[in-house]
Amino acid sequence: MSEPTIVAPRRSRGAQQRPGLRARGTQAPGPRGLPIVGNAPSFQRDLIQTLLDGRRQYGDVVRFPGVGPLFPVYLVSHPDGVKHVLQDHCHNYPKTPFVNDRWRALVGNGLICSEGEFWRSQRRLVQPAFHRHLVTRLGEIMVDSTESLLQQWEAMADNGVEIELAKDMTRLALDVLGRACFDAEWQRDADAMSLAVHATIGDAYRRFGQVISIPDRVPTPANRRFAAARAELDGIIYRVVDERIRQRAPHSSDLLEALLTATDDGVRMSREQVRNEVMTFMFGGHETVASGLTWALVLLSRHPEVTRELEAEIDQVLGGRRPTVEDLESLPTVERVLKECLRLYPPVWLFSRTPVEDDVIAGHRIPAGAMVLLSPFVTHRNQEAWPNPEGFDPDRWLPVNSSGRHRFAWFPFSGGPRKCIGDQFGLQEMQIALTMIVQRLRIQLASGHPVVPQPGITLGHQHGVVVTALRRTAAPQPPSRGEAAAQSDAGPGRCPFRAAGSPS
Amino acid sequence: MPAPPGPRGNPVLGSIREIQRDNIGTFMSAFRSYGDIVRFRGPLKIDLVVHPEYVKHVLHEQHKNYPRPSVVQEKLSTIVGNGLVAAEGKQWRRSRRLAQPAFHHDRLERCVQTITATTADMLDSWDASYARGRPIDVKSQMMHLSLQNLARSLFASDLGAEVDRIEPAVAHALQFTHRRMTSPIDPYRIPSRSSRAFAASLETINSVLYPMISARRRRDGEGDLVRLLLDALDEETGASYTDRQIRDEVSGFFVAGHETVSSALTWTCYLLSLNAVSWRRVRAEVDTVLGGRVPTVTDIPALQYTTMAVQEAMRLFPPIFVYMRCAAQDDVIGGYGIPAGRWVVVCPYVTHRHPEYWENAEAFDPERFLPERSSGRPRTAYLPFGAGPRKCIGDSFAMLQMPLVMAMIVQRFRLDLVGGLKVVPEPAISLRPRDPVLMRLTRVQDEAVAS
Repeated sequence: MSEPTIVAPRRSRGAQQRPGLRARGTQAPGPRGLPIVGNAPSFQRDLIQTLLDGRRQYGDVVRFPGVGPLFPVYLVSHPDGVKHVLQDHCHNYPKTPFVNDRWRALVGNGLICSEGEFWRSQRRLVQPAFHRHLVTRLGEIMVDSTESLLQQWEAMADNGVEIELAKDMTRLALDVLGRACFDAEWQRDADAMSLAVHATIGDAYRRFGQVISIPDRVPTPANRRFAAARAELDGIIYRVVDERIRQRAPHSSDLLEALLTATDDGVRMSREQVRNEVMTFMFGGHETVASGLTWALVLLSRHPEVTRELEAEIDQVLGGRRPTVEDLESLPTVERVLKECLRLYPPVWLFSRTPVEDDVIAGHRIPAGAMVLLSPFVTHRNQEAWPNPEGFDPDRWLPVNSSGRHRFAWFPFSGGPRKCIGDQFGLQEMQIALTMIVQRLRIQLASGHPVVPQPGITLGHQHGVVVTALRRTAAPQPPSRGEAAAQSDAGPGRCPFRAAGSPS
Repeated sequence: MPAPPGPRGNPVLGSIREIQRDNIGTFMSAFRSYGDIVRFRGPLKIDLVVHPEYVKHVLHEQHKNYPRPSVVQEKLSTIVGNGLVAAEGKQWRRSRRLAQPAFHHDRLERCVQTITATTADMLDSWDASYARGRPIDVKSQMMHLSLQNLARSLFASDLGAEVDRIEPAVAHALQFTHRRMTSPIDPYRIPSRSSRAFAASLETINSVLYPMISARRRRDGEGDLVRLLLDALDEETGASYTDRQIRDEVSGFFVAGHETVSSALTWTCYLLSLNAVSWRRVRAEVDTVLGGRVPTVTDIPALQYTTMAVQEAMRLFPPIFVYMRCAAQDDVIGGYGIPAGRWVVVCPYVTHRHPEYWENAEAFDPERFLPERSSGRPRTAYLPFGAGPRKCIGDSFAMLQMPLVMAMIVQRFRLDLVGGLKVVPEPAISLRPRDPVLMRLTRVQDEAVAS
């Protein structure tokens, strides 16, 4: 594929101007959809497949006309185009306003939605929180949290009880994040805190999809419920922040402490801004990790050959003991598997941007104010960057197979200056959790429980993910089970899933 | 006797709508909720039987009590007359005995060369698609291939260009027959465009088969099916088979041996492309066993992993995904009463996912067919070819053909599913991908150069 012709953005904001005169480039091709409503129904019905089909049929820049304030929508999928939007011309592509407003309602002026100079100084302030000296401590927290989950899972495995994978991964990720943010306080009051987060996030995520919504000030029942949940969570976080400020004693190392002590030219963050960033971590960092881990385990259960390779490496390197952050370097297969999982099922599968000025990408016109979609889910299936794009193949991450790959062919954490600040934290957390789970259990999808991706802020599942776990130390394939059942207790209509008892 | 458990469904329609919309999905979730035997209520009175022991009971031990429902038989016979596929009882036994020698081991081994030559022709044509950089539709390629293999091997007849006429005709006739079996009112009885199209398809099938049969009448053959049928004498009358009788038998083999094999091959290609590690293992095996040469009969046992990959694909997507039977007399299965006249359904798609017999059942794992991992698994836990006396007569032909074809494909090409393509199984008569399965080709020789 040839380099896209990139023409410098031109100033032509008025809709009354004839675009052909000033901005060069042709109109991008795309599906016309139904009469009048255009692509709106297919966006509603199956957004992921609509985007995939669009890319497959029309190429690197696709224009989706349709009825409603969102349309026309532009999908930019070639890595060059992604780089154009996220990096080279990022100043022309701020986040889409209505999406950003939703974030703002949740996290105030946190990193994820702040703009301009304020964002830049904030990023400088927050960045050190994720630096090396905390990594080991955060690693310990990750191991601890995974350990307590695994103990529950092992009990469930022994009783043959099914596990709701997606839910448990959310629990794990929130526990890790809560403790990473404020270790001692979270441990003291984990239940109340996670309840408050769940109450807020449930509503918040639903609101993200609404293009047109009643302003938050209007006291509709939904708005009041959301405001109450947020107020409670605010109360909890402010209490913790205030306590820390009052104590001023050397505290356990966690992210909150790092935020409170961070300085940029001698300036510290305000109490409110600390709250905003903590909220940003909470909401940016737990559903994403949970989605990533869930899909990773789904993929591993579907690919036993890869699982066996992974088990062999983990057994050889760790030999049964718990991993540490330092071990991760000696577990390259874990990293490769994880990267491959994030390729096929990126948790944040869609980013949207809205250009300030008219632009041209790959020879196609992108008008100011339009919605530009970048989808890792789509780009990660680009044939040129990824031979056999639908195949699950961790070996493609071997150094010998990765050379020359476009830097924006894989962007599960976005890219450019606004790349996810917690990418290393997230990767490390997923690596540790995955290592410990694979080390001790075999996760199997329950027969006949379909796993269907559901597009949301993160990539979810339409019917949840139900799995069973088998201890690896016990024989992974009990040979007697089948025989015994066939001979003696071919129990009349016995349900194999419920046979072993109910959750205790 | 208690009735088997099952969903209540709609008070009037029972579960008929769910089953019509998504039969395998409905069966699978019913198994998940109710277990090894499930009763569906409503006008479609069927009991789903999942446990391998019960499957054995219905298809094997008590098969005499479970003939096919006459409705199913009638509708099939519109296409295949009273041949092996549709016949019951005495007629069936005679047809089976007559056809059996055509599937004799020695006879099949002589087909290997035909199969490899046909496959090589297909792969040569792929070179051209590759040069043009166009993805191929594996589904239609496999349809074409399996039809040619069938005609050349079993009927010693080269259909030549006729393949392009009979292939869509058979596919269409089967699709319409599926509609006839599942609709409350037989669409064939209502004059419409689709019933006329069905009649036209039957006409096309005949217009290919009758000339083929008379051509074979004039020519000596060596033990193939058509020759056997030409030489056979009717047990009762002592007369030779008429062209009509031979047509019925032959069309049955088209129906039973064409789309089934092509579906299994397509699913194997698809699953291997998704499981890159498995593809490489097939490739390694093929390279070790064959080097670069064309496979022969003696290679087949050594192509173990390749064979297991095909078996595993048929476990996940069994081409014949449902067997319908009808209880002749009251019976008891697993402590539950089965009244006479009730339809009893065996669904390999579900039994193949029974968690007691298949560890991690939703995963593609060819190694589960290794002898050491198969011991203790009851035979009726895996039934891509059915079970009991009516087990598919062509099973060994299929298991000879498919590993050979896969080995030859992998030897020359790598197939990558086109990015973002959704492949959905469509349970019609056979469980096949609903839409074209577009895959990109990479020539193995070029791959080697590149690395």
